[in-house]
Amino acid sequence: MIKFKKTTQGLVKSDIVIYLFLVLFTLVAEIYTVLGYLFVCVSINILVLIMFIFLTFRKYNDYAYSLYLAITLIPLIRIISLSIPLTNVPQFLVFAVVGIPLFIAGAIVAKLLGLTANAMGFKLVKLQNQLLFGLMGLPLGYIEFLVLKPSLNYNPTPKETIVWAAVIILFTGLLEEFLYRGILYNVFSRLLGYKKAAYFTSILYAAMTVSGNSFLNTAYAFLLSVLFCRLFYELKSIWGLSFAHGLINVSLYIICPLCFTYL
Amino acid sequence: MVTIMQESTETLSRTNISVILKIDILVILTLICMLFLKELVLTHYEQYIFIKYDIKSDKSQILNVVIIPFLYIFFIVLIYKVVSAM
Repeated sequence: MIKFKKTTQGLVKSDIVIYLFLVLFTLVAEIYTVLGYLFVCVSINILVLIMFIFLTFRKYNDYAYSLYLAITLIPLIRIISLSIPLTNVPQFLVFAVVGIPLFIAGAIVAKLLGLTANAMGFKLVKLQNQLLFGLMGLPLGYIEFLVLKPSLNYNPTPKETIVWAAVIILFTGLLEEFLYRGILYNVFSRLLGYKKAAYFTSILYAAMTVSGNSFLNTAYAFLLSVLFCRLFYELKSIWGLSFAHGLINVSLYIICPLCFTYL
Repeated sequence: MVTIMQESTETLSRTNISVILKIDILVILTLICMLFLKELVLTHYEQYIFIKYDIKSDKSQILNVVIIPFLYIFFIVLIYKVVSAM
């Protein structure tokens, strides 16, 4: 399924311990975000990022190289989202402003790992299945709306709403599927097998949602991530998953608040 | 189901907390360190002509994973500062 530049054998105990440290540090940093200590959160993430860059250099000829390089994307996500000032940015473009550097970073990592577009799931297969699965995003988004109950902070015009929905599908759906399924799950499945890889990827995904300050949301994100990893393995394509992921967020941030807030 | 930006982090970014708490300076200092490190790596490998070109290129590109997004942040912060000063 994947063509790596390096031959891989599996992970040793120390790699798993380092992975667990990453999960721990991510959780601590996210808790600091919830508590409002942003400087501490960004500092932890920068330290973790430097540590993983260092490990990537050290393990250049090792099978764990791909793991460490892929993992650098995790601290990068939070550093970027917290350090960009967004005052003058319109609400419907926020995800685009934060998402662009992450797309670039993901593309660099994929190139360095030798991951082809096909291996990352950028191919159209079983279109009807993918479209059907994509539409499942709407009810899944409604469930998440019941958990999070986000409010609509401003009244977008119809034109802005369409742009906002497109931005959400592109910069949360496609981007997150590209980072988590296209790169991280691919790397983990090569090193650990596709079943364990789903859990390893989903733990990281769920850890990144802790700053949402809802245990139910974190648990829901974990379960959905496991499901998406499994479907990525079955479908071998990222388009349907990206559409579903995007529709979950469109439903959560636009459709449900517009329909149910005043009921 | 968004990890790149939670509602709480968006609210904080909208109040320009990164500029108030000097997080932007921390990021830009890291960027400068990374640029220095990249130069060091390239200079270091210049000495070993027997090392294949693609290894040198790969190793320096690892740092691009950090440098390019941080350069983007630098420009956004720069634009923000110019706009808010006008």
